[in-house]
Amino acid sequence: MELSSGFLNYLDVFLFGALPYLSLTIFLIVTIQRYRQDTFTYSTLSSQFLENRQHFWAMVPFHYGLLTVLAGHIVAFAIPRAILAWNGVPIRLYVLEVSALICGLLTAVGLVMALIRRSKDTRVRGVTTASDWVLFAMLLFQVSTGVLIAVFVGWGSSWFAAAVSPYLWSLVKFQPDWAFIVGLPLLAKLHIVSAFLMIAFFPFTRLVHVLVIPNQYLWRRAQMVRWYGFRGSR
Amino acid sequence: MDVRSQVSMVFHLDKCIGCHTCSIACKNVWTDRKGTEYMWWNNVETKPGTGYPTKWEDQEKYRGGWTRDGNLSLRSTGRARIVPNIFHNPSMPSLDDYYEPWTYDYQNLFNAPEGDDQPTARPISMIDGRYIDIESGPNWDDDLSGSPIYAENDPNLVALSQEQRAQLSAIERLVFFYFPRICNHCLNPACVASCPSGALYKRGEDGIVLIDQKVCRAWRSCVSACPYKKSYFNWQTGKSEKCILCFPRVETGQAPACFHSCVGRIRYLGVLLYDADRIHDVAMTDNTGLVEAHRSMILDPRDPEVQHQARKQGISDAILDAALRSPVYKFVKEWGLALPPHLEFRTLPMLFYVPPLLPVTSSQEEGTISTDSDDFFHAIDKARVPVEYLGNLLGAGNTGVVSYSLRKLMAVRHYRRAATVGDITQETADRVLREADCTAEEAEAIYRLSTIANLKDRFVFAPSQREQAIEMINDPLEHKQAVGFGFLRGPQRG
Amino acid sequence: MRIQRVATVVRRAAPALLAMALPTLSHARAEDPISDFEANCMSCHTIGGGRLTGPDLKDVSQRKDRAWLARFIVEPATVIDSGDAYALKLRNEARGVVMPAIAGMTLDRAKALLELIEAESALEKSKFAGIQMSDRPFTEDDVRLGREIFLGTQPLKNGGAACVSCHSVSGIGVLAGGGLGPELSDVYGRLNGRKGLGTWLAAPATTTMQSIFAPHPLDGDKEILPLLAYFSDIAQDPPESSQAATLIFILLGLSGTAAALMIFDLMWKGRFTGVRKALVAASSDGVEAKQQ
Repeated sequence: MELSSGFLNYLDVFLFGALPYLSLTIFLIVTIQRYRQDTFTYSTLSSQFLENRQHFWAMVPFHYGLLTVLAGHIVAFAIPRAILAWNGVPIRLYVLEVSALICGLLTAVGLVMALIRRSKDTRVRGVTTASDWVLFAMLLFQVSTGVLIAVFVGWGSSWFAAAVSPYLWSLVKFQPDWAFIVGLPLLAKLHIVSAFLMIAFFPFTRLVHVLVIPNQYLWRRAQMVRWYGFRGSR
Repeated sequence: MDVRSQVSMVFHLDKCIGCHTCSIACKNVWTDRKGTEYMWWNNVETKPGTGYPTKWEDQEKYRGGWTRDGNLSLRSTGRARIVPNIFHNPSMPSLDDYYEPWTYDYQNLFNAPEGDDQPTARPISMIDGRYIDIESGPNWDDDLSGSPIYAENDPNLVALSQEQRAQLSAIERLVFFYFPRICNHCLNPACVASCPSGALYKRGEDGIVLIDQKVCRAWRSCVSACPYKKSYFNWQTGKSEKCILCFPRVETGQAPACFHSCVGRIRYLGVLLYDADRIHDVAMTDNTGLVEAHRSMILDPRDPEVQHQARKQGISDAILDAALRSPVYKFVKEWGLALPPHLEFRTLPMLFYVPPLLPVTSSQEEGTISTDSDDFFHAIDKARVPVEYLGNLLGAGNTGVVSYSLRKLMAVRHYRRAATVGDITQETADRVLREADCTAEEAEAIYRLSTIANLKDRFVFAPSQREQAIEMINDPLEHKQAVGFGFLRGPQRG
Repeated sequence: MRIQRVATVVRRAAPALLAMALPTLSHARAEDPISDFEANCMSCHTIGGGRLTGPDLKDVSQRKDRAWLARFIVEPATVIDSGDAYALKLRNEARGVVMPAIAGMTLDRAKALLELIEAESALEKSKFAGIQMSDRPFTEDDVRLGREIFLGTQPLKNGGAACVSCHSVSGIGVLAGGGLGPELSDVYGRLNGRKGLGTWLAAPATTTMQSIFAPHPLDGDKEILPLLAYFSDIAQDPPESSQAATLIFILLGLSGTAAALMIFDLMWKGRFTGVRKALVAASSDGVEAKQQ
């Protein structure tokens, strides 16, 4: 028997009206709590020391691809009008879409390399925790739905700006309007829901290293001196 | 003038017997935890040899330390290059360049099923527990001078001619000395300058370089930036760790574990006052004047102006008093005997080595060993360890400073030989002293401090002021078997 | 340890979460019936303007009782599924198109709508008699302008997103078009030709289109008319497959990725790959060579 339309309606309301707030709440509370209680665990937990060669092929494509794609999402969220205007010229739209696909594929390549490295190199596998594996699964789902969307639900740069960006803004304004979302193809909805789940899972994983990226290094004095005695108080 | 104090070190290489007691003392106190098995904050290398990690002195490969083209910049990832390189550190050594720590499958000796063969305890990796073939280990090339794999690849040998290199590893002329290494607690530390998180810092009061374990985020920059490879990555906690100069001991007036346990009594610990305003200028000096410049920034604690400035900077009387009696000051500045290792890396190390004299008065000619007692200093130039080699290791490529030190050491020997054995005339001893820029009093002092100094002469530093000590705020016993002050749980991964 | 901590955190956070979730769940578009009609009904229904996708609603309450109508508005699919004869008849008249359920529709809202329809039916000319658009024949220029509007080279006056963002049609080459919404090559016939499609474009009925275009409506004569001309033009072309376009897109992506990987490799050409193993291997070879 098919799921009744009423149930699906409520599911949509939950997934796109409540889940974002639920995830964000968990994210904020656990992140802050973990930073206060377990500052020590805020680390990239790099495993480059144990395996140095494949690490390059995993981490470089993954991070560069992912950061570019994420930046694209954020730009389309922040200035959708400008994106639509840019996409007004077909060739520009096409170039943007191909670049996005390339970055998505780079992320996927990096992720798969990282997965192979983690499972094959016994030393690296030894320092891999359960939360790492769950994170891998979530990332794999997120990245593969993303790449599939880029290919089969084309011109995401445009429809993200047209449909998803206003939805996200409605979330920001605490007036969630899931009408933008409920009619989207299943692939896009899965991508969005798994993104919310990832935000919720974020503070339980090594992803917290994103929050402590060392920005002050670019302008602080090169040498650090700490004084414990009287000079410390000046 | 910005006067600061530094707890500095001198290692007297002539006295090192390579027993590794220091390494073991350190290991037992600090690095017997999971993730630190491979770390040797204190290690003793055989020179010529490639050391630990293999060939660490080769900065073409490891890219540690500073370069000086135009301005002072890190050879690895400084400010400009950290951003694109933060995901994969392009000059990060891996475990393979140190060694994979192992233990043995002892249980098999008890649990093996009955059979025709004796059960064996196979080596198993301490990282993932798999059976491994041991390819390398701590002190893998210990005493292996002349070996074609390790000794011949010593980066310091580039200064030598083919002939010298051949002689160095020729059978029956083989020579080596020991080179104990700990963190140099540099004045211009590359590790500190490279840390994107700002986790590494130099303590203002005593100059000890430490890593704040809570701020370290495993960006791994310090590991590649330190040219001495004395910052290690803990693969278990995902944090870097390094020699802490046993600061809990130093703060309470005890010498660090490696110093205290040293069987040959080769180690000296003392306060040096230096001018922090000159760090940059000295680090920018070219190789020929580098050792002199480094020495010149160390200030004379007897100078009233220095004392006045030091007090103004808040350096306590206890520290000033220790500086006046510092054995390190004598070795480095007064006598010019002790030299910093690889100063050309420009981190301005504060650990100094008295170069090894080795038996240089005898040389092998035509199969017989002759002792040339007329021209002592000629012998130094023909020493079994070429001066060029020591110059590369301890003189930033200059042989002059090494020769000066060796001559003086030799003169002291002649002086003592004239006094105790008497087969050298007093005139010869005096002439040798004069030629070595040494007086009889100085020779006597060098002799006493080098040979018969007791613990309180070798370790002269001021324990930290109690009001400055962390123990006043936290009860150390409450944190027994924990990781340090301020942690709520053990250093678990993730 | 970790789980306990999380449990504590969640327990502490629960009231806050609940407070946040409640307004979300009870969220509804409580609007006056006029804007309700404009937003939800107008794209398929007129009052006295004739049939579009759905029937003309003039005097609808005289054709069927209000209780039935209200229920049908709230849950049309359920009424049709129940086998109600009148509902089935309506569906047949609409050529199988089922009235979409409107998010947040309640009996009260439905009754308010019915009252509005009754009041408007009594008027000589309701303001919901359908949009007023020129019915001049389409010209070549209309088709060309329509194509530009579809592709977005001619931006929409009120700032709506170009059709190509979400829709594809045949005849625009490798660009194909967005994959979010349905393919539109035959939309002209599917939505009842000039009048039905025109009304739909003036007030779209699907939630996604409605959300996007309610704040940025299309202009009747200057935008909808050319679009209609364009859609009627391409409806005559045979449909073409977009598989080739997708394949080209994938191939471009793959080759770009390969190129990027090669660039990475070149950029970090001198990256550290280990010293000891290479050293031992090289030296051992040297030793063996000497011995031979």
